[in-house]
Amino acid sequence: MTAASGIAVPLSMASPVTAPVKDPVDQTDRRPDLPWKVIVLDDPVNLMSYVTYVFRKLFGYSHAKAHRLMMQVHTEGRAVVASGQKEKAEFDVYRLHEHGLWAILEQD
Amino acid sequence: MPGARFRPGRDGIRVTLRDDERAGLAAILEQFRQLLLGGRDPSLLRFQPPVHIHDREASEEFWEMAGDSLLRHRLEAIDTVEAGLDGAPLDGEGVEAWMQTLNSVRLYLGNTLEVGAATFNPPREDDQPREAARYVLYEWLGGLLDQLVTVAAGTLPPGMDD
Repeated sequence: MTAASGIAVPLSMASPVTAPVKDPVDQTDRRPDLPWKVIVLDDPVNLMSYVTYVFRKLFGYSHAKAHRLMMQVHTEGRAVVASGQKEKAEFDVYRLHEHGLWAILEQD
Repeated sequence: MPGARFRPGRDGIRVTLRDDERAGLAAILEQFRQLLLGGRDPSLLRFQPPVHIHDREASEEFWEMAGDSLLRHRLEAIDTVEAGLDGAPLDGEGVEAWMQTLNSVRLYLGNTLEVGAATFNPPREDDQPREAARYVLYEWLGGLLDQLVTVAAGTLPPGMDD
């Protein structure tokens, strides 16, 4: 392996570029009595195998369901991976960000 | 793709990096730690993107509450990976730390290299040596992460369909 042994490889660049943060459309109309959806957005960097694993690990989904959700994220740009009360949904979003997935909150 | 660097064992997942890989990864982790602590690199924005797409205030509120905790978590995960570079078997916590750290560094590199851009082409050694080296690192980390995911996925329970 050349890169890892090339210790001099700098992670950052002299003139770092701005992260390509997309701004998906959201039609949320927030009302306190409605459940919150946890939505994962597509990301060109995260590995498909890793995303599937994270869905299994965090939500206890079968491989088939996790893979289906991952493919929905990949092909449609987003997928609802969980829903519930705001506090639980926020916790799920936090856990997904711990794993490097881009998760957002929307209300039904 | 590196050779097998993660193997299932009776006492956890065993990490078998070569000496040069271990030294290289240690150097990369230290750079990443300093980047996170510096907090000024624009590509770090990817680690705290909007979570309420059309409500900037709610997103800012979320990250005010969660940002420090998440940073602390990332730094602790780096510590765990560093401590495990000597080849000690990974328990569940170690597996999570390795995955999240490998993925975080890769995510950072992918964003600085603009891997997702429609115009993206892998940088070439002859005219962009620095970027080319970083892209090789990005690919190597992806290979490592994919291996670890494959091994760790075998330890998960079957899970539920609905």
